[in-house]
Amino acid sequence: MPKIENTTGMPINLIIDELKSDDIRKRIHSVKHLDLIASTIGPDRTKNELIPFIQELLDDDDEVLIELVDSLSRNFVELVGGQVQVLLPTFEALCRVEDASVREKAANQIKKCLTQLPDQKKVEELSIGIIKRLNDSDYYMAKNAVAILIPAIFNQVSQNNQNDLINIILKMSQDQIPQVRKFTSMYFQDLVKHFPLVNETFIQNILNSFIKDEQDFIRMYIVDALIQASKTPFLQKQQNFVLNMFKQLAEDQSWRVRYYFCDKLAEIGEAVTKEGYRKNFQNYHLKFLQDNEPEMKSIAALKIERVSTLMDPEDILNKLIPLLKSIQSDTNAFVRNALASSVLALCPIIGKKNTSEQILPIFLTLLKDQDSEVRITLFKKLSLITNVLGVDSLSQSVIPALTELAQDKNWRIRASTIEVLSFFARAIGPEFLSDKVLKLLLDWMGDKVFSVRQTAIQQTAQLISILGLAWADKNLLTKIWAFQSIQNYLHRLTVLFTINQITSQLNNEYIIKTIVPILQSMAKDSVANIRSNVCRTSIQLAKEKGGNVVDPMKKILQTLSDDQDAEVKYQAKSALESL
Amino acid sequence: MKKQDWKFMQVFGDKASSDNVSDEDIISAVQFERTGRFLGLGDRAGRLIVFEVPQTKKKDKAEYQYLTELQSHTREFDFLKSTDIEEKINQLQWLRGQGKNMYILTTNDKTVKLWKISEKNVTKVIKPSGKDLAMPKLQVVESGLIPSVRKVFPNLHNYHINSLTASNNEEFVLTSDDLKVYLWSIEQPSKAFVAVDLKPENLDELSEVITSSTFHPTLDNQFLYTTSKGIIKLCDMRKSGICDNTAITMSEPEDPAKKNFFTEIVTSISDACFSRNGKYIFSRDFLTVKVWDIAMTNKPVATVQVFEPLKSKLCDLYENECIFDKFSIASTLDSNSFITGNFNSTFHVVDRMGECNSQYELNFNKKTIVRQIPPKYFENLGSSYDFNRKVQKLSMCQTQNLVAVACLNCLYFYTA
Repeated sequence: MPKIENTTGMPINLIIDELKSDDIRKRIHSVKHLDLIASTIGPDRTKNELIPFIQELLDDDDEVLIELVDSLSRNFVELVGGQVQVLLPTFEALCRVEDASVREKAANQIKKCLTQLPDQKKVEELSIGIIKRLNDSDYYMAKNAVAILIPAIFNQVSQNNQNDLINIILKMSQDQIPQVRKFTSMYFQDLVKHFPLVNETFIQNILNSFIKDEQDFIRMYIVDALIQASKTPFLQKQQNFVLNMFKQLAEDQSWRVRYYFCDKLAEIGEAVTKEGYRKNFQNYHLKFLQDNEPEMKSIAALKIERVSTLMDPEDILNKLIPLLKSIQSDTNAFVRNALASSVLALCPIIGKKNTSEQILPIFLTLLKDQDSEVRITLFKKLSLITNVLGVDSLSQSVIPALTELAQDKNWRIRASTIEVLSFFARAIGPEFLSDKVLKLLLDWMGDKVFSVRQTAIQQTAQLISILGLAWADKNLLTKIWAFQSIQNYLHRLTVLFTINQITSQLNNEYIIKTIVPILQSMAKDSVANIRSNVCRTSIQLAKEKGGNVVDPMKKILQTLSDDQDAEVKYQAKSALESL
Repeated sequence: MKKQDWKFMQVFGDKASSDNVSDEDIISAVQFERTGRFLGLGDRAGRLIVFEVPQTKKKDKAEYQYLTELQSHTREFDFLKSTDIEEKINQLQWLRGQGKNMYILTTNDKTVKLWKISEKNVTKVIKPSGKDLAMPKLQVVESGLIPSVRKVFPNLHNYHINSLTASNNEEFVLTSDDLKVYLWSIEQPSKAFVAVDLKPENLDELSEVITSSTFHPTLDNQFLYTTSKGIIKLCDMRKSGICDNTAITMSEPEDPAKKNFFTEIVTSISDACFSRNGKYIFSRDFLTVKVWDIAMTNKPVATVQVFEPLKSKLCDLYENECIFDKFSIASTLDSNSFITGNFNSTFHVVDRMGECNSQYELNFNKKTIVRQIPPKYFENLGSSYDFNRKVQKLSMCQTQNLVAVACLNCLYFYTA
């Protein structure tokens, strides 16, 4: 059993005391280190003293309880000497709290503990006990855990117990409190997996009662249950039932239910196979693209990428693409953004000619979209269209768009655009990174905003790892080293930050040939900040690279240890000492 | 329709305290808990006071007793706008209790809080853990109903929050300020959903603000909001995300002949509610109550003058600023009448056809003083008519014909 080291800087008894501190931050801190306490006092005392004491903590604020359940989930099984069932009462109590995330985590931990018990009979006894107690509790929230646990142990208990559990679920599904019905609906998908252990009639009855429920969030989750049911023999036996229920959900009055259905279209398609999808659900997707509600259009547009693999290319051309023309000019930016992220997935499916005729116009329109987010989303998927049409034909339209984004007023947009570069490098290769594009990168390196320069430096490192040092040196690095002579010292710093970032990719000859002279010259810079950073860079290079790099670095540091600036002197000296 | 006779049942407060009432004790929010067993009260000092009907074996209507109180909100300073944020409780909303625990949402102008009142033991450490690393020994120092804040939602709204309601299934909470209506869930306060946005591109063009909002009593997808222009909008969450686009509008166009200086001010709706059966909407503006049938939204089925003599006093009311006072309205259980407050310690019970207007006068003598107000009523409101004794807040119990009426710092119960 691992002994946990005390890195808190506090004595253990103080940590224990602070479990009951008036200051919530101290309580959270102590709860975070429960494993340390347990490890120090040993498994027997943990079992007999700490775990019972935790009962006193259960009435605390949600923040503390969230920390508590996480803390107990980590390695407490070991810390109680492997005696898993000792933890169960605590987790059971945590299933009754108000915060949903704590209840769910606690229920999942009970599940985990039960799997670690070797004795099957014990598992049955304990789990049924927990489920019944939670079900009978005054607190209706406790039924959340019941809905989670029943599917987890259903196939491990006796026939009699299974009948009891079925009855509990039946009652919960008709409870007058909507949240209880919601719990039942949310986790019904897990119970359905046990078909035929849970029989057909039962599944149908429950789903029929849910579909009539007036609450949107109860009908919504039927989608998940049907998907899971379709992965079992239930689909063959009750195909009409399943398909009809899916259709009812697709036509639901409430857009939220239709939204959820649309969100799961790809999974539904996989469950009912391509033919099933085309026959039954394809039209719904097309209808959603024309829905009045922008949220619906958005989710339908987002799903194009995945459902396109289920559709017949002819249908894509004749039925889907005509609808996209109105979406590309939709007034709502989220809708256009969703389209931008998935429309290019159609290119490989419909072939070069069709892409050129049908998708290219849409692509070009989105490229000029007034919303920069839309343009960036499009860029991230650029490789899908360049693979089909080739880079050259597109570079004429793409490069100007990229240039425009690179000079956007909003620095966050500029930073996002830089990240797009490594997508291109990976997907398309060095030929995309023509002079124009490299010029953009250099402009970014000299941007006014520090964040943008940082991102550009990071991208340079990425590019080197993708395209190699030789390529980078020839095309990029020499120009960056030229920054040494810029008047504004912030840009001279960029040289040093770049070296820091790409250290791991440099080889020692390169360092000696190119980097050392740079550092030697910058060590004489008039600005102290620069000289200070030279120290940092030198020590980093010396430590990471070692070998014949160390001596030149030492020499540089020695010159700097006689510097006029106190800070620089101190840094150089301590650097030398550490070598 | 059977006329309901309301009778005095109980009062908290007396003449002495009422004559010298300090501003902070004025009740600013009242609400019954869903089963009627508890009643919550908020005041200008930011306190929440809870009353209960103790469980007794007696079958007759037991009286309410003080149960507990807590300090919900305190005065804060808004650094961004350099103004004070008052601690006055604007609205309360009870949530479903669990076991013996009570849950109440309270709000002032800016911050919504979820309070839990539960029976528990507060413990104190009497012997800390020592060298032997024993667990601290605890002792119970206080036992009983202890309140605790479960959640605080501080930054929901930019403008003053005027309403707070929870849907029947308690999945959503609806809050509105001057320009927006938000739908959010207690579990995920970081994701508030804008249901209605009245903000114009240019704030100088602002002409209409939201004055109140409320959920439908049973249908969790419907809610209404009201504006300062006397417009009611009925929204259905199922139809669309931004609910305003598909909302049903109910408003009566202004009669240009009757327009005067005060028209704009008095048409602002101060409060509106659904009837208990959800078929009607009662909306209260300064002088009238309009009854709308949801099935017929082109005009109201009835417009009731609450107390006509006030019409002749509009100039005075403008001077003493009482013309801006907001009055609440509630529907009776059978949906056939509504109850709303007025000045001079009075409240009115009127049937929804507007035929029978009964004015009840609140008093400390445990008497029910009622008189009928016929249509086209006139009375000279002399100096004894007290505009300071406003009955602004009231709440109808959902399980029996019992209404709680607040006037300044006193709380009255009437039953029918």
